[in-house]
Order: sequence, then C-alpha cells, then structure tokens
Amino acid sequence: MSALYRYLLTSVLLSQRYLPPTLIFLAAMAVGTTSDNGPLQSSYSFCVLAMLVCTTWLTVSIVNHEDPTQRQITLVMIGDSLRVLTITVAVVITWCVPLLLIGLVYPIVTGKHVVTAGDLAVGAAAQLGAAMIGIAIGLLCSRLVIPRIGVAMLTAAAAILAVLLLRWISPIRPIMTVLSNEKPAATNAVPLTLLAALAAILLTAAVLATKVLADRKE
Amino acid sequence: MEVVRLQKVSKRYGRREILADVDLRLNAGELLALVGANGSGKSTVLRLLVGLSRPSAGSVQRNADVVSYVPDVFTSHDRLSAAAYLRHMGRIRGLSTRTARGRSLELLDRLALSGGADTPMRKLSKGNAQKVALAQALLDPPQLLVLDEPWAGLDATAHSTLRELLTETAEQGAAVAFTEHSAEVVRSTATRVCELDHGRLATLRQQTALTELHLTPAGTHLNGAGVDWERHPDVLEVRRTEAGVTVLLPTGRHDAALLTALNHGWSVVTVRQVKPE
Repeated sequence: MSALYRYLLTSVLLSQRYLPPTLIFLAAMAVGTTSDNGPLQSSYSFCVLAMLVCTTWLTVSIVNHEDPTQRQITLVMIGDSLRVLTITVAVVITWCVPLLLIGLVYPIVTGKHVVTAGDLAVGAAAQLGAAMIGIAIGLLCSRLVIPRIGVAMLTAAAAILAVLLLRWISPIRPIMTVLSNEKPAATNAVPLTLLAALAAILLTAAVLATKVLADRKE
Repeated sequence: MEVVRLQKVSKRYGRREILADVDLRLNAGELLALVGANGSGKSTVLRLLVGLSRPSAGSVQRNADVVSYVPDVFTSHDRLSAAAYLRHMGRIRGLSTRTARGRSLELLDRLALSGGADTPMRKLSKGNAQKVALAQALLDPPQLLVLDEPWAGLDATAHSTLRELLTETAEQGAAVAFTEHSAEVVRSTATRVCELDHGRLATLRQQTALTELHLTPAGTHLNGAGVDWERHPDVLEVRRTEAGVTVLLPTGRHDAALLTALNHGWSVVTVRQVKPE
C-alpha cells in the first residue's frame, strides 16, 4: 500500500502536473482575498470556491497522469482496483494539503482580520469539505470514467456550476452560505462539521462509482 | 498444479462477441502460446487470465498470488529513471529496496537496456521500454506470467534472452502464457499452442517438436567437461558420438541446455529441429 502511494506521489511530483492548479489557486487567493478587511469567515467563503475548482483540476491531472498501460500493470500487481483507486485518492488529498494551508493562511497574512482558533478550525472544515467535493467531481470526470478530455472538461465545468448554483445538490452552497452569515465560529462549527462529513460521504460514493464504472469498461 | 482455468468463458463488448465458450487450463511449468489472427480475441484471453477483464459469462479461477502482466505496448511518460521505476515496482511487489534494486539491475543488465538504467522512462525507445516492462514482470518470481506479444519491438539479442527468461520462469514452476504471431518463436518457446479463431478456441495442440543439439566438449576427455547430460533436466535422450554428444530435448527447453553447454566450454556444432517419431 505505502509503496504504491510513494510511487504515485513521486511520479506526480516529477511530472509537475500539480503546478497549474496550484498556481491558479494562488492567483485566485491574490485576487479574491488580498487586502480584505471583512470577517475572516467571509474570506474563507471565497477560498471554498477556489478550492472546489482547483481540486477538481488537480484530481483530473493526477488521475490522468498515470498511463493506461501502467495502470494495468499496477492493477495486476495489487489485484484490487478499489485499493488502487483509494491510494490514488490518498495521493490527491496529499497534494490538497498545501492548498488548504495556503487557503487558511493567505487571507490572514494579506488582509486585516480578527483571527481566532475557531475561525481557523471552521475555515479548515469548510475548505476540506470543498476539496472533497472537488476530488469527487474530478474522479468522475477523469479518464477512468470519461476517456475524452474535451467531454470531461465540459462535464467538470457543468458539475462545478451545478454544485455552486443548486442549493441542495452538494454541501458547497450551504458551506458558503454558513461562512457568509457573519455568525461566530462557535455557532458555525457544528453545521460546517456536518457538511464536511457529508462531503466525505459523497467522496466515498464517488470513489465507489468510479471503481464500478472503470471496471465495467473492462 | 492448475494455476488458472477459464471455464465456458464468453466475452462481449456491447453486441460484439469477442470470445465464446472458451475453456482453457494453464498448469504450473507450462509455456502456453496463444496464436490467431488480429482481432481473434488473444489479448482478451490474456486480460481475463490476469483479472484485468471480467467474463460476460463463465468463470475464471486463479490459483496464484504473484501475477505479472506485460502489455502489448508499454509507454511511460515518467521522468523516473528505469532503475528508479523498477525499484518502485519491486517495492510494490513487497521486495525490500535493496532486493528490488539488485534484481532490477540484474534484469536490465541481462536484457541489455541501451542507455543504461539511469535513462528516464520517457526517453526510452519502444524496444527499451518493452525491456523495462519485461523486467518489472520478473522482479518477483511470478506464479502466473502473462505477456501480450512480448517479442514485438525487441532486438535480435533480446529475443533469445526473453526466450531464456520465459523458459527459466516456467522451470521455476510458473505458468506462462503469451501471444505471438511468429510461428518460429512459438515453435521454439511454447510447450503448448492454442489457436483462437473468431473468439473460439479452435485447435489445441501439444507442442511435440523436439530439438537435437550436437555438442563437442572443450577438453580432450568426453566426460571431462563437467556436465552429466543424462541427468540434465529436460534431456530426453543422449547419444554419444566420436566427437561429442547428441542430446534430444523438447523444443522450448533447449535454451537452458545450450546455456549450460556454453557455460561449461562446450561447442555447439548443430541445432536442428526434429519431428517426433
């Protein structure tokens, strides 16, 4: 398990495919949160949006990075496609950690906010939830499910719009609403934790759906 | 020992039937060649054998913990070197880093990877990438080794090395299955040949060709060259002549005997295939 994780992590690191979504995330932070002096949770609401888009892109990049023939070799070695997919998702989550840290720290460094531990915890839960939804969309739009990159891009864009515009289709819109309600972190902690847990459930469902759809192609 | 068995296996992609009622057993120590025209379903059978594909009907039973697969085309865009890639593959197999490094360098050396083990994977030619694909399959001795046209793209020297590696793997108790278009390669390597015709296992024949090797010892004494041919595995018959010996063995098993002869300083006078009586 850890050997495959190390291989995929090294392969992605050397490929530098994580750079474009990471740089776009940084640019979005610079445009959306620099010199912001409103409530910190409102800044984090913008980070949720950027995190959703960038983790979707990051996931598609990382999953599509592995050559189909290499994937066949890996599948035969491990003997379980769900385990291979889970490890791939673990690699994606690892690459999301720097984004999460940037998303938490950048608004504090560049804006004027009253910072509390509660705000940080709430921001982390909210962005983690967004990252998990982004990963779920990215998995379902990866080559494992949609082989044609053009169709995959359009589907991903449509899915991101859907989760942003439709209120109860995913936890994203409720997360952004909760962060923008100007209530203290202690009040928002419970709903945001529940929404992050819901995002984790949706990510698990996306992993299973991706496994089933990828296996059916064989 | 039966390593893998396909029972009444059919495979459909949409309405198109690729395989129909295929029954196939593969035993330990066997070298099975699957032959047939393009699109006859050979690769599908291989994918079923290793579990990459599931049958639409019928069942696949596998009795192997270490399964290795070599795809027909192996391309890698990795910036990792061939040695680093194989080290990772070895570790995924459960080998220690040290063992994986040693084994990968040994295999790459044997397969004569041009450019060296430090060449990045994405810069390897088709043939060299194929050598790395072969090496990853043999890092940990497999119980089931499946190769899709493994000779494609390999240079002439690597052809015989691959034949040796496959024969050795089978001798170590693995079941080996491969597809190949060259009748000569199939004849010299396989112990059994199955032919697929439009998704059906049309013919099944045991490879009965024999190879006769005429060898002369390096020393003056016939028995002084350190090889007891009567006890050599796979040798069916030994005939002593004035100049040396003539040994008869199944085609596909002769590479190991040739290697033994050359390693002990014997000269190979003739190698010829003979039809069994």
